[in-house]
Amino acid sequence: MTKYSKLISFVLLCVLTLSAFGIYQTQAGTPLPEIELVTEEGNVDELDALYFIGNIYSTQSSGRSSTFEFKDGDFSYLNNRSVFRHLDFEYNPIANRYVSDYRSFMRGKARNTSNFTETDDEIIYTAMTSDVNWRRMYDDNMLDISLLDKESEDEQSYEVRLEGASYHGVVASYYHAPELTIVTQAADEQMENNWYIYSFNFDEPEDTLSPEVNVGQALDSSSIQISFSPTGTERYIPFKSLQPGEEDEYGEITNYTTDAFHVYDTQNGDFQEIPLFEEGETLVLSEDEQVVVGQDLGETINWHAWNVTDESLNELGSTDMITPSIGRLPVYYYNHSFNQGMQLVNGHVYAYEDHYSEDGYGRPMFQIIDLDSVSTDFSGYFGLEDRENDRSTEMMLFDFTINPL
Amino acid sequence: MKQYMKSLLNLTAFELDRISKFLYTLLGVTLLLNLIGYIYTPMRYVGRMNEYMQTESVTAQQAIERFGSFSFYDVTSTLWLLAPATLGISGLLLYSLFIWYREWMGKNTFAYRLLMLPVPRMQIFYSKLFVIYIAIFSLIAVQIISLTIGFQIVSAIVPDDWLSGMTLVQALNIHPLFTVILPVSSFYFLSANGIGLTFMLVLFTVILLERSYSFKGLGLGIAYGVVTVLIAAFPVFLPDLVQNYYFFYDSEIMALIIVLMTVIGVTSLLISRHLLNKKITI
Repeated sequence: MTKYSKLISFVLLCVLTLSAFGIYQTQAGTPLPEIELVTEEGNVDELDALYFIGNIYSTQSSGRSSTFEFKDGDFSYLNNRSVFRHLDFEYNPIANRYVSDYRSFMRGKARNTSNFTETDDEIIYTAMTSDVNWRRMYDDNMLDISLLDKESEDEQSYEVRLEGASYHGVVASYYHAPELTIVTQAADEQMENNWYIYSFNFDEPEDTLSPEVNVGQALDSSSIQISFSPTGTERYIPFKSLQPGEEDEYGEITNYTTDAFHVYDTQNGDFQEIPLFEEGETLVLSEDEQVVVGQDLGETINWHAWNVTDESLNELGSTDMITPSIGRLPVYYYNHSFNQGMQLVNGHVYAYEDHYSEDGYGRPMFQIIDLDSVSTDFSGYFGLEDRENDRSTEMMLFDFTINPL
Repeated sequence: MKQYMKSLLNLTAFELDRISKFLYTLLGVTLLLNLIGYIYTPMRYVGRMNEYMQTESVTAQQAIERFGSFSFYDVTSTLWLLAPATLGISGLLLYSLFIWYREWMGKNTFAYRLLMLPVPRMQIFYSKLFVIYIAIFSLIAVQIISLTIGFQIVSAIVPDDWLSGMTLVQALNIHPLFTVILPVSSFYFLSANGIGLTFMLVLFTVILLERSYSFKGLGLGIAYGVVTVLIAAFPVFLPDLVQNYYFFYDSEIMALIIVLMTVIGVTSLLISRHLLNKKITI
């Protein structure tokens, strides 16, 4: 027995210490904070279509951070996922849902929101070849298009050469069967950044596409932004052109103002200008055949429907907003899209703000407005249940999506 | 079976005896340097805070705004803790070579007696591997004990108001070295040990190739080592080969790496058994 004493001692040391450390870790682990959804007005069921990934972190300790998701009206922390599930997890709600539900289709496809368009029956993927093979960033204008039939899981794939510019990046795509409208940012012949619109027909697929429109030329603007599209099924695409201000002391222009709003009709291929309000800011949202224009007066927004036939505004009514800035996230001149904080889905405006309240804590807030009645269906915020005793924990949203289906 | 286990235990106990002095030294150095770190680092912070408060006539809160609050991570990121940990890793790495070559040192080569023992020769291989792993886990265990005691020492030296409130586990969780070598995150710990075990099996095979075929064996061993590294790393380059970074899911790449490392480990064991039984010269 004596000759094994050293061996037994060392093995016991290892086993006991590692076991004790395991127990200590379990006991010393800080319980994850309870998250609550506080309803200030309306019905919480309105948030069932909301899916977001958020993070809870300590302002005092960089080691304390937990990711959670809000899905189907419920919270769950993501810390307890298996390693393999964690490896495949995407911090992008749309891509994450696709990877989970259409794993085979998602193989080999880029994972940006702008690469996908979804209808009740189909998912359409549109991306440059360089989006999945970064080494080809500077040598191709090849566009990959795939269409998935959700029910049969049949996939049609096409490889298309884009002409008229170089170094394309897909900004958004819009689908009205069988037409796919693709908006890209690319370098023109003078190597200046410009916007192009292409059209692809699934019934008559072509190998090469020429631009339908050079957006910069059509709108006579060198600085353009596009409305963020939650669905990619709208007929009218809102564009905003910016007017450069004066140069600063370094010769840079950082001060841009809204010059005009236009909507591009994906079926007729022409632009209509939306007039700017003299008082307050102008908001332009679209969904399916509908264009909605808002007069942002801060505390209230006056809603109008844009009549595309006679190019006029029909007043819908006004809504009191729960904060003077909710939904109107700051958009800078270098952003390529606007309306990220205000999305029109199923006739409802989802306004979001990562609002910093008077008590200084982050409270992701949502206000949902039904455009038929222009009333608030829901308003509320996400917070910590034990905020009184937990003053060092903050909450933030990475990204959110409203599932329209 | 009982006889097999008994002879394996005898050999392991024998190898442990031979490593014990080296291991005690490593454990002693670790504890000593850690202890200095647990006392010196917080005392330097406390001294700096007190000096600043006296010379600038400011409150403790203002001094904290200047220097920041103190956390146990500030101690674990000093050389007093990092140096012994890396010394332990590199020391045991060198000992993994020495544990074989010591048998052929000197005139009366001990390898002759060892290989002539009436036990399966792979038991020699396993006993050396077990002892290296007992040493690794002993270092880990002592490091854990040291950190647990050290956390109490640091908490006693620094006033409560000056501490950030970071727990021991939180400090280890964000530490780039300890989160891998200590069982803080089961994924990192198992990965590190999986890679480490495969590495040890390949290293032992390389040594046995060299012992079996001399210079030619050294070339073979190096080639074998390079090939195993290429095979293990192959899945990482798969996206480049198929020219699509999203073709394979990360979980598939990970699963492939695990499978290939297992194949490498088993192959190394089979080659080592063949070399020990048939080829090795005394």
